[in-house]
Amino acid sequence: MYRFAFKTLAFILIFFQCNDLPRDNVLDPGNPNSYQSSVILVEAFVNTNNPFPYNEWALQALDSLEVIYGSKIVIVEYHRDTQEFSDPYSQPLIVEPLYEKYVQNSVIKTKGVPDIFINGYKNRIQGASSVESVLSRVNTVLSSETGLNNYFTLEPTDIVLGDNQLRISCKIARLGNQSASNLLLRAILVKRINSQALKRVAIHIVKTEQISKMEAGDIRTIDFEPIVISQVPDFIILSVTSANELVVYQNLKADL
Amino acid sequence: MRYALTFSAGLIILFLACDPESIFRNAPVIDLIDITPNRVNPYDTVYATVNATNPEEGSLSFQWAVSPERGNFIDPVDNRSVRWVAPTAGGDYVFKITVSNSYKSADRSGTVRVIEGGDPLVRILSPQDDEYFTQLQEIGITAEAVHNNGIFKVQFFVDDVLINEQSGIPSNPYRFTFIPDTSHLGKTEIKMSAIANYTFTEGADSVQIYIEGIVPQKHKF
Repeated sequence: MYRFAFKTLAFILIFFQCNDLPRDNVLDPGNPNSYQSSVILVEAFVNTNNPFPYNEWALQALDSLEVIYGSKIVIVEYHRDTQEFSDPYSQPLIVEPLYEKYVQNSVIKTKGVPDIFINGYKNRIQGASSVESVLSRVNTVLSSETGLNNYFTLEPTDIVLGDNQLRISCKIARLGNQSASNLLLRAILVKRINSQALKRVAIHIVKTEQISKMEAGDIRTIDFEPIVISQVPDFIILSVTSANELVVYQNLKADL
Repeated sequence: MRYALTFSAGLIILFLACDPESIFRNAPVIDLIDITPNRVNPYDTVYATVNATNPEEGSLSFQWAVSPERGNFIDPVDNRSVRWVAPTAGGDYVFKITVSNSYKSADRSGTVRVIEGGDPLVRILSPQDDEYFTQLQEIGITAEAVHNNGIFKVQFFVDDVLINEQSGIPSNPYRFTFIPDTSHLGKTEIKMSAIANYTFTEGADSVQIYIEGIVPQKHKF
Protein backbone atom coordinates (compact mmCIF):
# COMPACT_ATOMS: atom_id res chain seq x y z
CA MET A 1 0.00 0.00 0.00
CA TYR A 2 2.76 2.38 1.03
CA ARG A 3 4.75 1.31 -1.99
CA PHE A 4 1.82 2.14 -4.30
CA ALA A 5 1.31 5.50 -2.65
CA PHE A 6 5.00 6.30 -2.95
CA LYS A 7 5.07 5.34 -6.63
CA THR A 8 2.00 7.46 -7.35
CA LEU A 9 3.47 10.42 -5.54
CA ALA A 10 6.79 10.03 -7.39
CA PHE A 11 4.98 9.86 -10.72
CA ILE A 12 2.98 12.99 -9.95
CA LEU A 13 6.15 14.85 -8.93
CA ILE A 14 7.99 13.75 -12.07
CA PHE A 15 5.01 14.69 -14.22
CA PHE A 16 4.88 18.23 -12.88
CA GLN A 17 8.62 18.51 -13.01
CA CYS A 18 8.48 17.60 -16.74
CA ASN A 19 6.25 20.58 -17.45
CA ASP A 20 8.96 22.85 -16.16
CA LEU A 21 11.87 21.26 -17.99
CA PRO A 22 14.31 24.06 -18.65
CA ARG A 23 14.95 24.65 -22.36
CA ASP A 24 18.58 25.46 -21.95
CA ASN A 25 20.03 23.16 -24.59
CA VAL A 26 21.74 25.44 -27.10
CA LEU A 27 20.80 23.09 -29.95
CA ASP A 28 17.09 23.05 -29.04
CA PRO A 29 15.14 25.31 -31.42
CA GLY A 30 12.68 25.92 -28.60
CA ASN A 31 15.42 27.63 -26.64
CA PRO A 32 15.55 31.32 -27.60
CA ASN A 33 19.27 31.28 -26.89
CA SER A 34 19.93 28.33 -29.15
CA TYR A 35 22.63 28.37 -31.79
CA GLN A 36 24.71 25.98 -33.80
CA SER A 37 28.31 26.00 -34.98
CA SER A 38 28.78 27.35 -38.48
CA VAL A 39 29.77 25.03 -41.26
CA ILE A 40 31.37 27.13 -43.97
CA LEU A 41 30.83 26.50 -47.66
CA VAL A 42 33.90 26.99 -49.85
CA GLU A 43 32.95 27.10 -53.53
CA ALA A 44 35.90 26.90 -55.90
CA PHE A 45 35.26 27.78 -59.54
CA VAL A 46 38.11 26.13 -61.42
CA ASN A 47 39.36 24.87 -64.74
CA THR A 48 41.83 22.02 -64.49
CA ASN A 49 42.33 21.53 -68.20
CA ASN A 50 44.82 24.26 -69.05
CA PRO A 51 48.61 24.55 -69.03
CA PHE A 52 48.74 26.96 -66.10
CA PRO A 53 49.17 25.69 -62.54
CA TYR A 54 46.96 28.27 -60.82
CA ASN A 55 43.86 26.11 -60.40
CA GLU A 56 45.82 23.16 -59.09
CA TRP A 57 47.55 25.44 -56.58
CA ALA A 58 44.18 26.64 -55.36
CA LEU A 59 42.82 23.11 -55.01
CA GLN A 60 45.93 21.98 -53.15
CA ALA A 61 45.48 24.87 -50.75
CA LEU A 62 41.87 23.81 -50.16
CA ASP A 63 43.06 20.25 -49.46
CA SER A 64 45.32 21.61 -46.73
CA LEU A 65 42.54 23.74 -45.30
CA GLU A 66 40.20 20.75 -45.21
CA VAL A 67 42.75 18.98 -43.02
CA ILE A 68 43.01 22.02 -40.75
CA TYR A 69 39.30 22.79 -40.43
CA GLY A 70 37.81 19.29 -40.77
CA SER A 71 34.03 19.25 -40.54
CA LYS A 72 33.85 23.01 -39.99
CA ILE A 73 34.07 23.53 -43.73
CA VAL A 74 32.68 21.84 -46.84
CA ILE A 75 34.38 22.31 -50.19
CA VAL A 76 32.99 21.96 -53.68
CA GLU A 77 34.65 22.45 -57.09
CA TYR A 78 32.62 23.90 -59.92
CA HIS A 79 34.45 23.25 -63.16
CA ARG A 80 34.09 25.91 -65.83
CA ASP A 81 35.03 26.35 -69.45
CA THR A 82 37.13 29.40 -70.19
CA GLN A 83 37.36 31.02 -73.58
CA GLU A 84 40.29 28.88 -74.63
CA PHE A 85 40.16 25.88 -72.36
CA SER A 86 37.15 23.65 -71.96
CA ASP A 87 36.97 21.49 -68.89
CA PRO A 88 35.54 17.98 -69.26
CA TYR A 89 33.80 18.35 -65.90
CA SER A 90 32.14 21.67 -66.61
CA GLN A 91 28.42 21.96 -65.96
CA PRO A 92 27.62 25.27 -67.64
CA LEU A 93 23.90 25.07 -67.13
CA ILE A 94 24.15 24.75 -63.38
CA VAL A 95 27.44 26.55 -62.69
CA GLU A 96 27.42 29.61 -64.95
CA PRO A 97 24.25 31.24 -63.54
CA LEU A 98 25.67 30.98 -60.04
CA TYR A 99 29.12 32.29 -61.07
CA GLU A 100 27.56 35.14 -63.01
CA LYS A 101 25.47 36.05 -59.98
CA TYR A 102 28.48 36.05 -57.65
CA VAL A 103 30.75 38.03 -59.99
CA GLN A 104 28.16 40.64 -60.86
CA ASN A 105 27.66 41.37 -57.19
CA SER A 106 31.39 41.53 -56.42
CA VAL A 107 33.41 44.73 -56.37
CA ILE A 108 35.74 43.43 -59.09
CA LYS A 109 33.90 42.03 -62.08
CA THR A 110 36.82 40.19 -63.63
CA LYS A 111 35.96 36.63 -64.52
CA GLY A 112 38.70 34.05 -64.36
CA VAL A 113 39.63 30.93 -62.49
CA PRO A 114 40.53 29.90 -59.86
CA ASP A 115 37.85 31.93 -58.15
CA ILE A 116 36.90 30.94 -54.63
CA PHE A 117 33.82 32.18 -52.81
CA ILE A 118 33.30 31.55 -49.12
CA ASN A 119 29.72 31.44 -47.88
CA GLY A 120 28.47 33.38 -50.88
CA TYR A 121 29.66 36.30 -52.94
CA LYS A 122 31.08 38.52 -50.20
CA ASN A 123 34.29 36.64 -49.47
CA ARG A 124 36.05 36.19 -52.79
CA ILE A 125 39.58 35.00 -53.38
CA GLN A 126 40.53 35.04 -57.02
CA GLY A 127 43.73 33.80 -58.59
CA ALA A 128 46.76 31.98 -57.26
CA SER A 129 50.47 32.62 -57.36
CA SER A 130 51.34 29.65 -55.13
CA VAL A 131 49.65 27.13 -52.87
CA GLU A 132 50.73 29.22 -49.89
CA SER A 133 49.19 32.43 -51.17
CA VAL A 134 45.75 30.83 -51.58
CA LEU A 135 46.05 29.00 -48.30
CA SER A 136 46.90 32.19 -46.47
CA ARG A 137 44.09 34.22 -48.03
CA VAL A 138 41.38 31.60 -47.61
CA ASN A 139 42.56 30.82 -44.10
CA THR A 140 42.19 34.48 -43.13
CA VAL A 141 38.51 34.37 -44.09
CA LEU A 142 37.84 30.94 -42.61
CA SER A 143 39.40 31.78 -39.28
CA SER A 144 37.03 34.70 -38.87
CA GLU A 145 33.93 32.86 -40.14
CA THR A 146 34.20 29.54 -38.34
CA GLY A 147 33.96 30.96 -34.84
CA LEU A 148 30.60 32.60 -35.42
CA ASN A 149 27.32 31.36 -33.98
CA ASN A 150 24.86 30.09 -36.55
CA TYR A 151 21.11 30.25 -36.21
CA PHE A 152 20.15 27.48 -38.61
CA THR A 153 20.47 23.77 -38.21
CA LEU A 154 20.13 21.22 -41.01
CA GLU A 155 19.53 17.53 -40.83
CA PRO A 156 18.95 15.15 -43.73
CA THR A 157 15.92 13.04 -42.90
CA ASP A 158 15.89 10.86 -45.98
CA ILE A 159 18.30 10.33 -48.85
CA VAL A 160 17.10 7.54 -51.09
CA LEU A 161 18.82 6.38 -54.23
CA GLY A 162 17.04 4.12 -56.72
CA ASP A 163 15.98 3.82 -60.37
CA ASN A 164 18.41 6.58 -61.41
CA GLN A 165 16.58 8.86 -59.06
CA LEU A 166 17.69 10.55 -55.91
CA ARG A 167 15.17 11.68 -53.31
CA ILE A 168 16.30 14.07 -50.60
CA SER A 169 14.36 15.20 -47.57
CA CYS A 170 15.87 17.62 -45.14
CA LYS A 171 14.87 19.11 -41.83
CA ILE A 172 15.66 22.75 -41.26
CA ALA A 173 15.28 24.56 -37.95
CA ARG A 174 15.55 28.22 -37.11
CA LEU A 175 17.48 28.70 -33.89
CA GLY A 176 17.85 31.76 -31.68
CA ASN A 177 15.15 34.31 -31.09
CA GLN A 178 14.75 35.99 -34.46
CA SER A 179 12.80 35.05 -37.55
CA ALA A 180 14.39 34.70 -40.99
CA SER A 181 12.84 35.33 -44.39
CA ASN A 182 13.47 34.75 -48.07
CA LEU A 183 15.43 31.56 -47.81
CA LEU A 184 16.27 28.74 -50.12
CA LEU A 185 17.44 25.21 -49.54
CA ARG A 186 20.05 23.98 -51.99
CA ALA A 187 21.55 20.55 -52.53
CA ILE A 188 24.85 20.19 -54.38
CA LEU A 189 25.59 16.69 -55.60
CA VAL A 190 29.31 16.08 -55.44
CA LYS A 191 31.39 13.35 -57.04
CA ARG A 192 34.90 12.25 -56.16
CA ILE A 193 36.48 11.68 -59.57
CA ASN A 194 40.04 11.04 -58.39
CA SER A 195 42.26 11.80 -55.44
CA GLN A 196 44.25 14.58 -57.09
CA ALA A 197 42.57 17.71 -58.41
CA LEU A 198 39.09 16.26 -58.76
CA LYS A 199 38.16 15.30 -55.24
CA ARG A 200 34.88 17.14 -55.02
CA VAL A 201 33.37 17.97 -58.37
CA ALA A 202 29.83 19.34 -58.45
CA ILE A 203 27.72 17.26 -60.81
CA HIS A 204 24.33 18.73 -60.09
CA ILE A 205 22.60 21.45 -58.07
CA VAL A 206 18.94 21.39 -57.03
CA LYS A 207 17.00 24.00 -55.17
CA THR A 208 13.72 24.10 -53.30
CA GLU A 209 11.01 26.68 -53.62
CA GLN A 210 11.64 29.87 -51.71
CA ILE A 211 10.92 29.69 -47.99
CA SER A 212 9.26 33.01 -47.34
CA LYS A 213 9.60 33.06 -43.56
CA MET A 214 10.75 30.98 -40.62
CA GLU A 215 9.92 32.09 -37.12
CA ALA A 216 12.39 31.49 -34.31
CA GLY A 217 12.02 27.89 -33.20
CA ASP A 218 10.39 26.74 -36.48
CA ILE A 219 11.29 23.25 -37.66
CA ARG A 220 10.34 22.17 -41.17
CA THR A 221 10.89 19.09 -43.22
CA ILE A 222 11.43 19.92 -46.86
CA ASP A 223 11.40 17.48 -49.76
CA PHE A 224 13.45 18.21 -52.88
CA GLU A 225 11.96 17.25 -56.23
CA PRO A 226 13.26 13.80 -57.24
CA ILE A 227 16.55 14.19 -59.12
CA VAL A 228 17.29 12.10 -62.19
CA ILE A 229 20.97 11.24 -61.99
CA SER A 230 23.36 9.74 -64.50
CA GLN A 231 26.14 9.18 -61.98
CA VAL A 232 25.94 8.50 -58.30
CA PRO A 233 27.31 11.31 -56.14
CA ASP A 234 29.64 10.53 -53.27
CA PHE A 235 28.16 13.16 -51.01
CA ILE A 236 25.63 15.94 -50.94
CA ILE A 237 26.09 19.45 -49.59
CA LEU A 238 22.90 20.88 -48.17
CA SER A 239 22.85 24.65 -47.75
CA VAL A 240 20.48 27.30 -46.48
CA THR A 241 20.96 30.38 -48.61
CA SER A 242 19.27 33.67 -49.23
CA ALA A 243 16.54 33.42 -51.89
CA ASN A 244 18.89 34.98 -54.45
CA GLU A 245 21.64 32.51 -53.45
CA LEU A 246 24.14 35.31 -52.84
CA VAL A 247 24.55 34.62 -49.14
CA VAL A 248 25.04 31.16 -47.68
CA TYR A 249 23.90 30.82 -44.09
CA GLN A 250 24.50 27.23 -43.05
CA ASN A 251 25.71 23.99 -44.60
CA LEU A 252 25.82 20.30 -44.01
CA LYS A 253 27.73 17.52 -45.71
CA ALA A 254 25.76 14.29 -46.05
CA ASP A 255 27.61 11.20 -47.23
CA LEU A 256 25.79 8.70 -49.38
CA MET B 1 24.97 132.81 -52.35
CA ARG B 2 25.05 131.38 -48.87
CA TYR B 3 25.20 127.85 -50.26
CA ALA B 4 28.13 128.73 -52.54
CA LEU B 5 30.08 130.09 -49.59
CA THR B 6 29.39 127.02 -47.48
CA PHE B 7 30.46 124.73 -50.33
CA SER B 8 33.69 126.67 -50.88
CA ALA B 9 34.50 126.60 -47.18
CA GLY B 10 33.95 122.81 -47.19
CA LEU B 11 36.34 122.38 -50.08
CA ILE B 12 39.02 124.42 -48.34
CA ILE B 13 38.69 122.37 -45.13
CA LEU B 14 38.91 119.12 -47.11
CA PHE B 15 41.98 120.36 -48.99
CA LEU B 16 43.74 121.31 -45.77
CA ALA B 17 42.81 118.00 -44.12
CA CYS B 18 44.45 116.11 -47.00
CA ASP B 19 47.95 117.40 -46.17
CA PRO B 20 48.24 119.55 -49.24
CA GLU B 21 51.98 119.69 -48.90
CA SER B 22 52.39 116.01 -49.53
CA ILE B 23 50.36 116.11 -52.68
CA PHE B 24 53.03 118.11 -54.38
CA ARG B 25 55.97 116.16 -52.88
CA ASN B 26 57.86 113.25 -54.48
CA ALA B 27 58.46 109.74 -53.17
CA PRO B 28 61.99 108.38 -52.76
CA VAL B 29 63.50 106.87 -55.88
CA ILE B 30 64.84 103.31 -55.51
CA ASP B 31 67.69 102.93 -57.95
CA LEU B 32 68.77 99.43 -57.08
CA ILE B 33 68.02 96.56 -54.75
CA ASP B 34 70.88 94.13 -54.56
CA ILE B 35 70.39 90.72 -52.95
CA THR B 36 73.49 88.55 -52.97
CA PRO B 37 73.56 85.63 -53.41
CA ASN B 38 70.06 85.01 -54.63
CA ARG B 39 70.35 81.24 -54.52
CA VAL B 40 71.52 79.82 -51.21
CA ASN B 41 71.53 76.79 -49.01
CA PRO B 42 69.97 76.72 -45.56
CA TYR B 43 71.94 78.77 -43.01
CA ASP B 44 73.76 80.73 -45.71
CA THR B 45 73.90 84.49 -45.22
CA VAL B 46 72.25 86.75 -47.72
CA TYR B 47 73.31 90.41 -48.09
CA ALA B 48 70.66 92.82 -49.17
CA THR B 49 71.21 96.49 -49.87
CA VAL B 50 69.24 99.24 -51.46
CA ASN B 51 70.35 102.38 -53.29
CA ALA B 52 67.76 105.09 -53.10
CA THR B 53 67.73 108.86 -53.51
CA ASN B 54 65.49 111.38 -51.91
CA PRO B 55 64.15 114.09 -54.21
CA GLU B 56 62.95 116.01 -51.15
CA GLU B 57 64.76 117.55 -48.26
CA GLY B 58 65.50 115.34 -45.28
CA SER B 59 66.61 111.82 -44.64
CA LEU B 60 65.31 108.45 -45.80
CA SER B 61 64.12 105.61 -43.64
CA PHE B 62 64.21 101.90 -44.55
CA GLN B 63 62.20 98.85 -43.63
CA TRP B 64 63.07 95.34 -44.76
CA ALA B 65 60.71 92.36 -44.67
CA VAL B 66 60.80 88.83 -46.01
CA SER B 67 57.91 86.63 -47.01
CA PRO B 68 57.23 83.95 -45.90
CA GLU B 69 58.54 85.06 -42.55
CA ARG B 70 61.32 82.53 -42.03
CA GLY B 71 65.03 82.79 -41.55
CA ASN B 72 66.58 85.48 -39.37
CA PHE B 73 67.74 89.05 -39.97
CA ILE B 74 70.97 89.52 -38.09
CA ASP B 75 70.98 93.30 -38.54
CA PRO B 76 68.28 95.80 -37.71
CA VAL B 77 65.75 95.81 -40.50
CA ASP B 78 65.64 99.60 -40.71
CA ASN B 79 69.08 100.06 -42.28
CA ARG B 80 70.06 100.54 -45.86
CA SER B 81 71.70 97.10 -45.77
CA VAL B 82 70.77 93.92 -43.91
CA ARG B 83 72.05 90.40 -43.52
CA TRP B 84 69.62 87.48 -43.42
CA VAL B 85 70.32 83.87 -42.52
CA ALA B 86 68.43 81.47 -44.77
CA PRO B 87 66.03 79.02 -43.11
CA THR B 88 66.16 75.23 -43.36
CA ALA B 89 62.96 75.09 -45.40
CA GLY B 90 63.65 75.51 -49.07
CA GLY B 91 61.58 77.66 -51.37
CA ASP B 92 61.41 81.16 -52.83
CA TYR B 93 61.61 84.01 -50.32
CA VAL B 94 60.58 87.50 -51.35
CA PHE B 95 62.56 90.42 -49.89
CA LYS B 96 60.69 93.69 -49.78
CA ILE B 97 62.33 97.02 -49.02
CA THR B 98 60.21 100.03 -48.23
CA VAL B 99 61.99 103.42 -48.44
CA SER B 100 60.26 106.47 -47.02
CA ASN B 101 60.90 110.17 -46.78
CA SER B 102 58.88 112.61 -44.74
CA TYR B 103 56.05 112.54 -47.23
CA LYS B 104 55.89 109.35 -49.20
CA SER B 105 57.30 105.86 -49.56
CA ALA B 106 58.35 103.49 -52.34
CA ASP B 107 59.02 99.79 -52.30
CA ARG B 108 60.67 97.15 -54.38
CA SER B 109 61.07 93.36 -54.10
CA GLY B 110 63.63 90.72 -54.92
CA THR B 111 63.64 86.96 -54.54
CA VAL B 112 66.07 84.58 -52.88
CA ARG B 113 65.80 80.90 -53.62
CA VAL B 114 66.74 78.63 -50.71
CA ILE B 115 67.77 75.24 -51.93
CA GLU B 116 66.87 72.55 -49.45
CA GLY B 117 69.17 69.54 -49.47
CA GLY B 118 66.65 67.05 -48.09
CA ASP B 119 65.06 64.31 -50.15
CA PRO B 120 61.53 64.70 -51.45
CA LEU B 121 58.91 63.06 -49.28
CA VAL B 122 57.06 60.39 -51.22
CA ARG B 123 54.04 58.42 -50.06
CA ILE B 124 52.12 55.82 -52.02
CA LEU B 125 48.46 56.22 -51.12
CA SER B 126 47.22 53.20 -53.07
CA PRO B 127 47.62 50.29 -53.42
CA GLN B 128 48.49 49.37 -49.87
CA ASP B 129 50.95 46.81 -48.55
CA ASP B 130 49.85 43.19 -48.92
CA GLU B 131 46.91 43.93 -51.21
CA TYR B 132 46.06 41.19 -53.68
CA PHE B 133 45.38 41.67 -57.38
CA THR B 134 44.98 39.34 -60.29
CA GLN B 135 46.99 39.48 -63.46
CA LEU B 136 45.38 41.57 -66.21
CA GLN B 137 43.57 43.60 -63.58
CA GLU B 138 44.29 47.29 -64.00
CA ILE B 139 45.94 48.60 -60.85
CA GLY B 140 45.70 52.30 -60.11
CA ILE B 141 48.70 53.77 -58.33
CA THR B 142 48.22 57.03 -56.47
CA ALA B 143 51.08 58.78 -54.72
CA GLU B 144 52.11 62.10 -53.24
CA ALA B 145 55.54 63.66 -53.64
CA VAL B 146 56.52 66.82 -51.81
CA HIS B 147 59.64 68.99 -51.72
CA ASN B 148 59.89 72.64 -50.77
CA ASN B 149 61.72 73.39 -54.00
CA GLY B 150 59.22 71.47 -56.05
CA ILE B 151 59.46 68.14 -57.84
CA PHE B 152 61.45 67.80 -61.02
CA LYS B 153 59.99 64.41 -61.96
CA VAL B 154 58.47 61.26 -60.53
CA GLN B 155 59.19 57.74 -61.66
CA PHE B 156 57.13 54.60 -61.20
CA PHE B 157 58.84 51.21 -60.94
CA VAL B 158 57.55 47.66 -60.71
CA ASP B 159 60.16 45.26 -59.33
CA ASP B 160 62.84 47.89 -60.06
CA VAL B 161 61.82 48.16 -63.71
CA LEU B 162 60.91 51.68 -64.77
CA ILE B 163 57.35 51.58 -66.05
CA ASN B 164 56.53 55.26 -66.43
CA GLU B 165 57.66 58.74 -65.48
CA GLN B 166 56.10 62.14 -65.31
CA SER B 167 57.27 65.72 -64.80
CA GLY B 168 56.58 67.32 -61.47
CA ILE B 169 53.18 68.90 -61.09
CA PRO B 170 52.24 71.72 -58.75
CA SER B 171 49.55 69.77 -56.94
CA ASN B 172 49.41 66.15 -55.79
CA PRO B 173 48.57 63.36 -56.30
CA TYR B 174 50.40 61.61 -59.11
CA ARG B 175 48.54 58.78 -60.82
CA PHE B 176 49.73 55.83 -62.84
CA THR B 177 48.09 52.64 -64.00
CA PHE B 178 49.65 49.27 -64.41
CA ILE B 179 48.38 45.97 -65.77
CA PRO B 180 50.39 43.05 -64.40
CA ASP B 181 51.16 39.99 -66.48
CA THR B 182 52.51 36.53 -65.73
CA SER B 183 56.00 37.92 -65.09
CA HIS B 184 54.69 39.72 -62.01
CA LEU B 185 53.06 36.77 -60.25
CA GLY B 186 53.61 36.58 -56.51
CA LYS B 187 55.08 39.31 -54.35
CA THR B 188 55.65 42.42 -56.41
CA GLU B 189 57.20 45.71 -55.39
CA ILE B 190 55.58 48.94 -56.50
CA LYS B 191 57.96 51.87 -56.07
CA MET B 192 57.55 55.53 -56.71
CA SER B 193 60.53 57.85 -56.62
CA ALA B 194 60.60 61.62 -56.86
CA ILE B 195 63.49 63.89 -57.81
CA ALA B 196 63.61 67.39 -56.39
CA ASN B 197 64.18 70.52 -58.44
CA TYR B 198 67.71 72.06 -58.37
CA THR B 199 69.32 69.56 -55.98
CA PHE B 200 68.08 66.45 -57.79
CA THR B 201 67.92 64.64 -54.49
CA GLU B 202 65.72 61.61 -54.63
CA GLY B 203 63.06 60.27 -52.28
CA ALA B 204 61.05 57.09 -52.70
CA ASP B 205 58.30 54.98 -51.22
CA SER B 206 57.38 51.40 -52.00
CA VAL B 207 54.68 48.85 -51.23
CA GLN B 208 54.59 45.10 -51.62
CA ILE B 209 51.54 43.69 -53.33
CA TYR B 210 50.62 40.24 -54.55
CA ILE B 211 49.71 39.40 -58.12
CA GLU B 212 47.73 36.20 -58.49
CA GLY B 213 47.52 34.21 -61.69
CA ILE B 214 44.19 33.43 -63.31
CA VAL B 215 42.99 31.73 -66.43
CA PRO B 216 40.88 34.57 -67.69
CA GLN B 217 37.55 34.46 -69.39
CA LYS B 218 39.09 36.23 -72.35
CA HIS B 219 42.63 35.15 -72.98
CA LYS B 220 45.01 38.12 -73.12
CA PHE B 221 48.49 36.65 -72.83
